[in-house]
Amino acid sequence: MLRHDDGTIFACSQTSYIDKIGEHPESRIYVSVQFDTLPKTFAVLDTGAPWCILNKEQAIELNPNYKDEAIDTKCLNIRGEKTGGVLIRLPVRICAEQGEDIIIEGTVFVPQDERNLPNFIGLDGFLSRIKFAINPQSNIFYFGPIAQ
Amino acid sequence: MFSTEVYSAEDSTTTAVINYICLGRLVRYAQFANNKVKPDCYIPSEFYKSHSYTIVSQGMALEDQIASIDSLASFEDMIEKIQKRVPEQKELYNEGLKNKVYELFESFLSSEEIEKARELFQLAVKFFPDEKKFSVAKNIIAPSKVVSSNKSETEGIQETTQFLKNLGKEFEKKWIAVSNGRLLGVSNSYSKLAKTYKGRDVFIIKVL
Repeated sequence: MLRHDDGTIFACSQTSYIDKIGEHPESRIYVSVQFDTLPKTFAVLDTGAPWCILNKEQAIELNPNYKDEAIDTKCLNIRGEKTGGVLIRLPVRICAEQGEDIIIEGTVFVPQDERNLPNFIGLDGFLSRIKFAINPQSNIFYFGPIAQ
Repeated sequence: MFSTEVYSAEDSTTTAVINYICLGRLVRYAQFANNKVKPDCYIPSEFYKSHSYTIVSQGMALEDQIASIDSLASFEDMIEKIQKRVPEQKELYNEGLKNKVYELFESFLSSEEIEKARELFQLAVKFFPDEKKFSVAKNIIAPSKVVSSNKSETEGIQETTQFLKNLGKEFEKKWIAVSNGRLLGVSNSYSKLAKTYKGRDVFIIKVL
């Protein structure tokens, strides 16, 4: 648990994160998340992404007809490339190792192309609703809801 | 197909007469001094003959005005303009406006103006309440909200992160199922692993 100088709580939960998976050359912050009722997974924390991003295969597993209640868009910029996909609304959970999970309902982008992208948790659709901090020495991600 | 002309009549009650030729049919409006448009107000040609008037502006056809909408303000102005038209005109132009909603939405997304995209769908829902697609879209892009925060600690995350750090090249592009730092399954199909480990505390990850 992280506290402010005056003793009030900054973040009530924490979880380990990975900064590198296998031999992938890029370092990132992958935290444990769960998209709706799907099995838990890891997603890249990305303050540059407006919304969370969910792999198409996972979206289909969650709801084969997910496109029926979605908005089509061609204009999401992922790594400098305009990417086509759909926007849906889902609850996304950060899984705590210690403390409380937090579930945020937000906008999730499902890319429709065949690029190999990891899942993301983005700023507007998720991170803007929590307080968070990282300790890169111990690879710990601290988090909690804004109104605590 | 459309032409719009705005006339100013020298008359104490009528300040402007707006003529539209819509699909070959002449539709006329009279705009009175109190600035209220009276739809379906047919101005007999005798009126024109008996009153002198001058063209004060040659308006852009509504169709072209809709095509040139590039901001929330111009979208709202146009909606208000069109709602004052006779029913056939409203129906016709509303279709153009509905298509414009998606076009504007894409333009706001490409410039990452998410707040504007939200406002756009709020306006769209307000003026086109029967369009279910707009209310769905408004909900999808609404600001995110905390649903709950509850005690539910997941065991073995640290062990799983350690395992993932040391993954070999053989797992590239595959889905893997891991629990407490132990590999449970590997597959090209996410669905297969998700069904196999449904309800269990297992992480399923695509290795890139």
